[in-house]
Amino acid sequence: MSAPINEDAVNYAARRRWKLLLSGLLMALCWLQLQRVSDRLPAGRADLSEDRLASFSPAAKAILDQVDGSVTIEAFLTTSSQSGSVVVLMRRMLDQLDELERLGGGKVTVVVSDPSRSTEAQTRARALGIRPAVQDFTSGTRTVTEEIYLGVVVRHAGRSRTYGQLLPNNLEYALLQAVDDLSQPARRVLGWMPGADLATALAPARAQLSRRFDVRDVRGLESGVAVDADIDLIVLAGPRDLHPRAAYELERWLRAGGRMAVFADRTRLDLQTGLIEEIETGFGEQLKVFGLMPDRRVVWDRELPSRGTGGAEFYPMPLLTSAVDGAGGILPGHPIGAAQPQIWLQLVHPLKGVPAAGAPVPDVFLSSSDTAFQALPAGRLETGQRALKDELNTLLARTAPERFVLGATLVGELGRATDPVRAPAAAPLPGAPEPEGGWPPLERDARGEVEVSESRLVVIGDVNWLVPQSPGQPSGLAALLLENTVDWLAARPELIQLRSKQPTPRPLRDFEREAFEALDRESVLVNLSLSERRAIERSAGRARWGAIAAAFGGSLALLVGLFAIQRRPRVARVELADGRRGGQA
Amino acid sequence: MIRATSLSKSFGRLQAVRDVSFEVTTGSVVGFLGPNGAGKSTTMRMLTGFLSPDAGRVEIGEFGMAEQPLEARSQVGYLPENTPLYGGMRVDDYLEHVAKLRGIARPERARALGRAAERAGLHGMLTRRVRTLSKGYRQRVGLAQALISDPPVLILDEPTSGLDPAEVGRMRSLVRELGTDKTVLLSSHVLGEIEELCARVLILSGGQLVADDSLDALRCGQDSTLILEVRGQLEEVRALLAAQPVLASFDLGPGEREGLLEADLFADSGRVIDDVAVAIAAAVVGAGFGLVRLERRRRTLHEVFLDATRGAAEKASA
Amino acid sequence: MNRFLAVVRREALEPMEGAAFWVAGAVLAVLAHLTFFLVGVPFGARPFPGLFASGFASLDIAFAWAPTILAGLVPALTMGAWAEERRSGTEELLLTWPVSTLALVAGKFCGRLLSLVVLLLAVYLPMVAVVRWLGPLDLGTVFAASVGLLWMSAACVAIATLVSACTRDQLVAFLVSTLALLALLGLGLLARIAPGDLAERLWSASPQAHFLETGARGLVDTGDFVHGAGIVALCLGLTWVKIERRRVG
Repeated sequence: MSAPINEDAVNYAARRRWKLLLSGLLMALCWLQLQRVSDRLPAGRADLSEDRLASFSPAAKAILDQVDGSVTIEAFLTTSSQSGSVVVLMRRMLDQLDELERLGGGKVTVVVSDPSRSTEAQTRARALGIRPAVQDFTSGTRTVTEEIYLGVVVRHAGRSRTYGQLLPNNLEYALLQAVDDLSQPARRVLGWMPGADLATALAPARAQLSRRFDVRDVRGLESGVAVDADIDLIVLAGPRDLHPRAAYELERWLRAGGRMAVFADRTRLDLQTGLIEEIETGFGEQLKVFGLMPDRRVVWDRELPSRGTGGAEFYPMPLLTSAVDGAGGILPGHPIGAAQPQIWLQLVHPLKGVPAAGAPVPDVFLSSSDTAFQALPAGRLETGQRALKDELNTLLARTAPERFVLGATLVGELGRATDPVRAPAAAPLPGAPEPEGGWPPLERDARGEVEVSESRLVVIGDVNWLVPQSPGQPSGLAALLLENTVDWLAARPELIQLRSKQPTPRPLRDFEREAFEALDRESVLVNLSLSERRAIERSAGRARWGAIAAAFGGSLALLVGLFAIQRRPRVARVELADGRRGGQA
Repeated sequence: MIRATSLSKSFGRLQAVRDVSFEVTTGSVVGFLGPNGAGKSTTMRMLTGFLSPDAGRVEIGEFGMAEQPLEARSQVGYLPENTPLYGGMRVDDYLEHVAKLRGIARPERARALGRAAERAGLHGMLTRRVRTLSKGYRQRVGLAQALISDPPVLILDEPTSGLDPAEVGRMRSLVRELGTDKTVLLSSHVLGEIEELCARVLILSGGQLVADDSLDALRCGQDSTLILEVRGQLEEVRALLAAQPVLASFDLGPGEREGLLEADLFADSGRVIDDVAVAIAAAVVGAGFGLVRLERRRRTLHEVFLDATRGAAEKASA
Repeated sequence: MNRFLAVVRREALEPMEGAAFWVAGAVLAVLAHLTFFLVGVPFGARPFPGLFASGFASLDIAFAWAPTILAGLVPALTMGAWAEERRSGTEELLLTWPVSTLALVAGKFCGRLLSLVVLLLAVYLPMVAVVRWLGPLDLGTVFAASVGLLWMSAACVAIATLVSACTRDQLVAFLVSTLALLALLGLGLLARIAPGDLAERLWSASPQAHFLETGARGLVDTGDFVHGAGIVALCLGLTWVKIERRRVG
């Protein structure tokens, strides 16, 4: 019965053991190989977040599509470092540069060289003004000092822009703005007209603009000189007693397709003396025609944050500072409001006036909240805490809340709207006295009609936001609003979109405010008694714990529900021979 | 139905099964015997595909276990030693899970489940959790699990161990019933059970197959001994037997019953035992003695088992 | 396929049969809400206070904890996958049923992953709903992070399944796979102090690079999928080898 032992079969198990061991090793090898090449595989990536902070935006693609010819990006990066965090940083830089190269579809060439390794690259980097950052860190037990290069040069059409140090966070905006600027035939010219006493205070804003524009002071308008033909846009920052002739020249230029930003104040406060001074802009009547004249009175917004950072409370300064934030302020739909969570305005003046029939309707991008009050500025403001409280209470007692327009844009054919064509000389522009020798006529084309094209106008009833609170650059928020404004004027929506890559504010519900409103008091925090404030805190605390309990309770409820479903009594699914179904066998 | 060819299996240095070959046909209950550690469970594990042999082949029906493992395994219902079950599951869930794994389509599943449960006698236990069942019922669940897809081959590893006598009886009658149309391979330490159920017995010892024959053949074996009972005078009978050329020797004495003589007759080697019996019967009757009984001597299975395993042990030690 | 699904079904329900699953669920619920609302993330490159102290409607805190929580939770759900079969001997039946080893390995993996996903959903869905009620939560990021978390959970479950297949003791399986998953997390931390090239290797293998830097920030990246799928394929392959070796003895 016993068959002869098959010699092949004797080794069967041993061979199978080896086979399994080998296949295990092979799998491990394949995996290691996959790990090595996975970085180089063509990767698909989708950014599902609302803010799209982690990927290149469609605007970047649009800018690159508009570029003629090739863009070379030369990056000087320290690719090998003893510091792991530097290596990770460099990986992110290189990833982004790769993605940019792909996005360019052949237009963009990225060249990476490492000045830390090659003397030649180091010489080149230094010649371009790129200096390394010197960093100390511990590697093992030693302290190591390394020079880290993070410089990038963008070249296009024979011109270039150099960034001495670029980080992954701002790489997209910096590089694409450079590409966009370099691809313009020539630098745009920006006419700069600060108010007479504001030239120094606004120097940082001017410096900010001059990085991207050829900024030129506009002079001599009052003596009848027309605005230079090559000026692309004008920023009129805090005009004061503008000469009627200058105002006329500006309006004429604006109506003929000019692009202008007006940041106008009607009051100025000297904090030392507490004196409030009224200001005549000299351009008010012109703005009134468009429905955008800053009023003499100021807006005070009740919806001030009552809690500063770190839980410290502070008393709002009536009439002095107004925060306009997401809730009532900047309307997110408007391009100028893009990425602008809030802006701080001081002594802000609401915009008034009735646009003429058929005129373009102003597009509001900045408004007060529903609880704002309008107040006449007193001649003198006591800035003491006590006096401020009194002032505030009087104000609250007297005025009803309303919503005010604080900033608006206008786009369209302003010339045709008021029809200056019929008799430009005979009907002087409103508010401007007749100059000697009469008004010069508007330019006419061959058919005897005034050449009109799309004009753009931005008005904000405050200029103080442009003045830096501390020496140096204007605050980030102000800089952003300024950039957005000039880009809107220059009709560069792509740049505004690029800039809008900032996290949207995602504030949690303000339980303190809800508790306050539940008190149904016509007052603000300053008037609350200690017990009332405690009650508000308690109520807010309860609401927070309620939220925690809801989340935790919800989880537990779901778990208990799952448990109940899993342990539910069930009938056996059995069919017996005699045809009985279910039940017990 | 089951064909094992030169199965061998080692665990490290221990050779558990050495060159075991046998074949079992459909419709029979085969007993699988052997002392502890003889390789019974290892052989059964190879037959069910749980272990793959170091050498040799297993075929279930037309399927080779190595070549078509899934088809071969689907022919076999297996009840392992100690009946390992998923304790946390309900009996019906467990059986349904097994039914799914055994590829029973959804429409037939409830019917298959009911049939297996009825056969195994799981009355009223279907919604209980397995771990709450008594040993007997666990064994029934294990059996239902093996029967659920109505496989042609059943391999039962000590199905009656640890059961009370009533359970043992039930299990035996079930196995007997199953044996009519299935191939059943049954291992047990209870020899009486094997004697009662099995027509054929395989005995393993020291990893080797030391006996493989029908139960009858094993009990008679190569044993050429006849038992004779006659009514007659001691001396006359002795003379008669001594004169028979077909006998090598005999051992005659007074029988247990009054007036009867009893003798063990050892046939001459090379003669067919049945011819010897005929010759002796003719001689006794011809001489005028009263022939009360003449039959071949049958050993008990116990003796067979001890003989077979002793032989193997001696061989192993030698 | 049906047999594979049957294995998936059993393996997904199996942990729920025992008390450990529900205890783990309750502990997870407590820890998740405690860290999210009150503790925050007191370590790492970007420490956060709790949700109300930071004041942003986002799940960043929960995402930052996710790898650590998985390192404890996954082994608890997966430790028994193979170890218990082996200890109780049910493996002997399992491997004689007409199901291929591949279907068993993949089915056990998918089932355990499914039970993990159910548990995570039960614990985190109410949290998402509450945060959404508290402020403008970015659901796109939450979705992308969930996808990233799925890849990472799959990798963790695959690793823990492999460990479970290597032992017959559930406790050993639990401890070893917890250590293994924590070590994986440690790779990302090590990358910060390791020298150059090694740091890059470590980083690209770490869950930080494939979840915290991508999914948690709203990115769905094929690279993360490849990384996760690679680990799953490797671990399931090795589990298959391990189980097949058991047949050989």
